[in-house]
Amino acid sequence: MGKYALKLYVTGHTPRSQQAIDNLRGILEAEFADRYELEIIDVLDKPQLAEDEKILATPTLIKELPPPLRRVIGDLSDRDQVLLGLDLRTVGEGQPDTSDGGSHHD
Amino acid sequence: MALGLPLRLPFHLPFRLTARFTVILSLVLALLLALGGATLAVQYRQAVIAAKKDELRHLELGLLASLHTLMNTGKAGLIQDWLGEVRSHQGLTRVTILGRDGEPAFRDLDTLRRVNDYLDQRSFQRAPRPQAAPPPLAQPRFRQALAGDRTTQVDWASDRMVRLLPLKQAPSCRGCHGYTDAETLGVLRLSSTLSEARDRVHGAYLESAGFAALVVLLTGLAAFLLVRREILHPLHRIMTNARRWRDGDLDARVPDRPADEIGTLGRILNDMAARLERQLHETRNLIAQSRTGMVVIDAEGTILFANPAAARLMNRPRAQLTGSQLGVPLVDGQKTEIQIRRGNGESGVAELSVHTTEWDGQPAHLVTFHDVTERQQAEADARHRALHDALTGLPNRVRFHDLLERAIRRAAAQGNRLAVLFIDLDRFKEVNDTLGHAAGDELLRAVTRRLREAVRDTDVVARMSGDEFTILLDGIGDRDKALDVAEKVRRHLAEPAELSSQTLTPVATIGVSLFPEDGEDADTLLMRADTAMYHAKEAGRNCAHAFAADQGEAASRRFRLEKALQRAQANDEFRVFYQPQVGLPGGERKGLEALLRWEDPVDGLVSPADFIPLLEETGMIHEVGEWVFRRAAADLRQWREAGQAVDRVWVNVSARQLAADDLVARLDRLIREDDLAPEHIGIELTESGVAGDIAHSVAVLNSLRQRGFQIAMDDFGTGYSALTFLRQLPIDEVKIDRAFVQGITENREDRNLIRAIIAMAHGLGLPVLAEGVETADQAELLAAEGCDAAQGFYYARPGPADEPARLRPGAGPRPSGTQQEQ
Repeated sequence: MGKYALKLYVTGHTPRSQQAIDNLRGILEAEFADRYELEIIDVLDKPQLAEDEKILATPTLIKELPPPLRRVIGDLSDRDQVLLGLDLRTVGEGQPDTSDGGSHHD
Repeated sequence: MALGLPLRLPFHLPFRLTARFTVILSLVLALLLALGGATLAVQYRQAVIAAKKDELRHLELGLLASLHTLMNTGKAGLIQDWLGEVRSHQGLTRVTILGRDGEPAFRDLDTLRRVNDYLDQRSFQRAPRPQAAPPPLAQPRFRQALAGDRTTQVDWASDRMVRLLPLKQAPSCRGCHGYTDAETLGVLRLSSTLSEARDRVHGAYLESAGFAALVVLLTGLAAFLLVRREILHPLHRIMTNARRWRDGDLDARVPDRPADEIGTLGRILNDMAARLERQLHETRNLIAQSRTGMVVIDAEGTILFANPAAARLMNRPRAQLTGSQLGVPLVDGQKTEIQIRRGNGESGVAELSVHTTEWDGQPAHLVTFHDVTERQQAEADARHRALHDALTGLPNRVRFHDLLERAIRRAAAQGNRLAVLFIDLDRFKEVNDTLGHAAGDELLRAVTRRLREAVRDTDVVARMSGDEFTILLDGIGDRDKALDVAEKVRRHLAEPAELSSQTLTPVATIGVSLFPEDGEDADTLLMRADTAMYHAKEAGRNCAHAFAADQGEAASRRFRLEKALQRAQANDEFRVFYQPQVGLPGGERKGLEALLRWEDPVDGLVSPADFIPLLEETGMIHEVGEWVFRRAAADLRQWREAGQAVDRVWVNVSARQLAADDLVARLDRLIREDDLAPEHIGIELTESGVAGDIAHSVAVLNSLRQRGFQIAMDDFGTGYSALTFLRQLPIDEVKIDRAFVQGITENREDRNLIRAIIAMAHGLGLPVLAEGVETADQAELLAAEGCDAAQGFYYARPGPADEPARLRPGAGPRPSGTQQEQ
């Protein structure tokens, strides 16, 4: 069964950062329940990590699994845009099911 | 074909055109040569034949003559000569004599020789004359030839030429053959080869054809070179430059040429390149100098292009940006905001918008963003400023109101109580006036600190205006708890405060109201806390009072009225009426008293007694009072422009206005901004208004007189009326209250009182004006008692500024109606 591994880079504990985190968590909880891993990285706390990833602006969201690697920027407020941007097209399917995850497994 | 060849092959295109031109030119030349050759061949053939014909004609004349002679004379010896002559013509291959029947009579030279032998043996003359008719002529061609039409047959293929010549009977031989003169005896056929005639003509023609071909080829070559020099080479130069332009080198220019078509084309292209270069330069400059960051990314979010502003905004070298991952921007609607690391290394906010575009023919996004950090900061600051007091940093009235409303909603939902404390600093104005505003500000800051210290962090402390503060106590137990806190605040405030120049002890009066008991909305709670504070003040300052139920009824009515007054102010329902004051005993107009009226759109004019006290209580009197001054100044100006001299307009100033710190400041502003002329303005104050804080009142009145305002003591006799009090005050006139005037014609005591007041005022050097004069008797009596001026319905009722009759100077006393009230 496919796991979703995501990294969200934010800058500081600002309301904007928190908004992005909340938005993303909302989407992930609704779509992938407990099948995702989300790592939140504050570029102020870990500048080297951000540098390694070459983060140019925040919030930046990187989907590492399932392939392909996808990277989007924005406040992540629009659920459909986020899913589309990450190439996680469960939009309009009612409920994401395991076969969707499986199809990404290869 | 063009597609099959790689474009980068140099000289491919010019060679193609040259090759095409060469081929075409060659074809044309070949065609010309072929046509010339063909024409030449025909002419050559004809020339060969003509030459042969000529040659044969010469021969055949001799042949015929000799043959005729031979035939006719029958001299066999002559045939030798004839043969010799025939043999000398090598071109002749065969000589045949044909009979009329077409059968050869003498087939060739050998046969002819035999003929000669035959003729030797038997003379023609001896030949028997045929008796029968001669046989018919054989072949048509033959017949034609014999008919005298000599014909020549040329067989080009076998290189042969044949001529047929008719043989006729010579006149000398007439009758010897049995034929008539006209009849042909036979045919002489001469066969000849064309070869030597051909050889002869051939040489001449070869020579001229070669020459012609040479001319044609040279002309073609010249044309080719000319085209190459004049067209192909210039085109090639243009093409070379065009290729450099294509590759981005817009500096390249086509060499100058004469102003022919190609030269013009070159110049046009040069101009075009220059224009493109300029535009490109300008566009590049725009993009390079733009403060807006511009980034082009592909569908995966990889940066394909970034301008310097983008590099600056993202704090990275441009070279590093290109090729790195920005990410696909998720833009909600038109714009979104992202956080960036700015040039100074700090985090900032950029507003970002995305447009679909193309880059190198591939779909791409143009992402533009600009730094809005400062703008957002400024907006946040402005928001904070709008909701906070600049001096103390506390929430202001608007903010407090908002917070209170929220707290009320919360408390209502949770069934909690909350309390509002309304705090007014006692005698704060004195600090400002005596120690200066800097000290006042310092005191306010000290008070702010103490207020904050006195309450929990979760409680809201706000500054409402000058020296008024409020505190919101959320989740307070009951009225006693709230009063406890209020008392604690009051005590905490009342410690001496070390200011930079002075030690001061702030003293405050506090009113308390409770949700939900005293009101269920912010306005009511605030108003009732204010009312409680006001009552506390009246009860003696420096104390805390809770709102009491008996204040509630009045408060509720007042609250409605207050709302109506606010609406009245907003809707411009207040009016200023003027009532003239006249001198006694002459009745000349001295001045006008400005009277505030409220014209309710529904109820009509509202009694001043009903609303003016509330204006004072709510503090609206400050603004409305100022408005009266402004109105009076404007009306005064208008009257003067209309040529009506008005000596002075008297404006009422209430106790609350007088007590406020800013009365003088407000009037100063009016003098400055509204051309308020103090020398034409009088200020009427009531006794009770002045009495509250004598020292303060004296100070204010002195300031006002310094500015040129006259001061009148209104409603004199109703208040304290202490003589010493009258002496202390810097005033210019005394106005006797209408209550005394009404009774003077019937009541002896009143008359005595009036007399005493007038005497007392005159003793202090103050003129006296009587209010509420309604009858001629009253006017007469007052004049008799030495009263200096009067005002009342007897002279004129108060009216709007635009009733000129009322304002006409010298409009003397006139009888009025029976209305008893003003």
